[in-house]
Amino acid sequence: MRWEEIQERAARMVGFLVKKERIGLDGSIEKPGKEELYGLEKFKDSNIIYENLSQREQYDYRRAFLKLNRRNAVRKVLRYSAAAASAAIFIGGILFAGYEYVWSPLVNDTSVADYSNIKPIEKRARLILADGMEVDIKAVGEAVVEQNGKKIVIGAQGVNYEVDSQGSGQSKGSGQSKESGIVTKNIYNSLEIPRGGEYSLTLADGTRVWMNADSKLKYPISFVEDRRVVYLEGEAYFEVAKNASKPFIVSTLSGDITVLGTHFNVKSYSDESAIYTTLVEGSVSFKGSAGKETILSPGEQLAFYPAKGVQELKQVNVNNYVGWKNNLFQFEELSLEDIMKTLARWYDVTVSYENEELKQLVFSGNLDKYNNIESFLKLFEVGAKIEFKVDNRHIHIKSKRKES
Amino acid sequence: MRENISFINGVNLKSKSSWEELYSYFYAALCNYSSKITKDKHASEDIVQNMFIKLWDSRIVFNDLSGLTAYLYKAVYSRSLNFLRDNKKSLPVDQEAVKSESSLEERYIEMALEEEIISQFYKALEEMSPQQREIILMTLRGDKVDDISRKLNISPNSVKTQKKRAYSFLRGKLGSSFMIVKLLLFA
Repeated sequence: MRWEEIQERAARMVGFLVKKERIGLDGSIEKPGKEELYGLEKFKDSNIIYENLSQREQYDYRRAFLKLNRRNAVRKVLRYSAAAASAAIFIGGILFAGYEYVWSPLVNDTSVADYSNIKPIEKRARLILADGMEVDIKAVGEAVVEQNGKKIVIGAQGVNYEVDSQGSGQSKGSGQSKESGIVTKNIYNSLEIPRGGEYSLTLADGTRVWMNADSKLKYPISFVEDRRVVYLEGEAYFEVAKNASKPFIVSTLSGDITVLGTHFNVKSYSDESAIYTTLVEGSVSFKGSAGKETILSPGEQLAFYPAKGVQELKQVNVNNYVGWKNNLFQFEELSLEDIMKTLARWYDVTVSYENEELKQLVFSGNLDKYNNIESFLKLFEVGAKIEFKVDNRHIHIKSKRKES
Repeated sequence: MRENISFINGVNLKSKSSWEELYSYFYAALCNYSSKITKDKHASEDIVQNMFIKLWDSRIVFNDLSGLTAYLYKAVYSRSLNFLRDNKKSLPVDQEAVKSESSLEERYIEMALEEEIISQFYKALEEMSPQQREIILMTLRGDKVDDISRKLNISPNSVKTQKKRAYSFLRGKLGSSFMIVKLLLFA
């Protein structure tokens, strides 16, 4: 016998254990083999099951499981604090203080390193499967999930859905996947990117999607209907796989973008007054909730202000709007307020201003988005007469008092 | 164990609820198994917990329940032997199978099978009424209908009825959740 056989053999024998009883379970074709009968005798002749179960009672799985969880929580804290200059001082504290609350002493001590709690953008996301199971992707590594006969590969590079086979009913691997090919209704998964996170995914039609911080995309695991509809909140860059017979539609709260195969960016945050569609190549049409439909050409950006029902179409440098996907934060003549909105999402911080005029300061720049926020903000301090006060995860922006 | 695929996915993805299920199903069984090798209750708990921790930190992915079960028992088996070695305890020697390492391993695989049988059986029992469970366990212990009737203070006829119900429940239960049907087809 091999280790791999244990589970199935046990299942067989438990089946026999139940069936063999003199309850008169006739008509059963299946009879245990010699070897199995021998194994079963052990369970029949003595009260071995009773004995075993009472032995097991001395082991408390709940306590052990709790220990595992605590240990994982402590490790998380140690990892974060290792980045902080003051880590060494607090390790002793962590060991005594325990688990969940260890964050607070670290956080309150801002005297050593102001920026220690603000981390650059990271690859992380939460995947919500159709059955409601939530997967914290950062904690995973690499894994393969199977859902309704569909393979989902989760890795450092993104979430990738096994591409739908061409032509309906034809499943690849010749009969390997018995369930696939008979799905007729859309089954949805969602990918949620927290503030401070980013992630990418490949949908079942081969379309690639880069998700920015604080965004959510809901999409079917297989495109079985005659339109490919996905639902976006926040910002994402799409490279849509061409399929003329199945239009691809990005649905947002205030309007839908219909495409046939192209590269474009959609920015639709609820805390911004407009939804921005920026076209890199191909052709898309935008239809706002107000009903008007506009077709964009490459290099154009359409801003739609749902509150006013107004659309504005203009030529832009697309790199300023899709650079985030290539790890750049590129901006031209952008107000400090807009810049900080983006940074707040990437670094998961909140921002306040000493006065309204500061918000209107205008900057242009080209920054690497994985830098720590400190080096970012230093650049602004040099250019303008402003300074940043950092308290934990909050940034207060004020005018510089002393002329220098 | 819910639906197998979803459970295995959850274990692979380190989902908390799946891991709680993993602990609930395997922890005591593995400790029991380990302590049969080490003859040391506390050591066996450490061995099992450390094995789980290592699994949590790893990127090991399982395809199915058989693979998972094999991994857990095998890991606990070799950790238990290491414990004996490291602590200069006497290594187990089997009277019948002194010949080779593999036959020693074979014996421990059989012990693991025993544990797994009891786990699966108990899992199924857990879902029936306390009285039915009681009757099944007494029957397995060798008690006759009359004994059970007397001990539980119910009529022999209702013992029989309860037994029938319990068995058909178990059959249904084991059929669906442990892939018995599939196994029977191929046996």
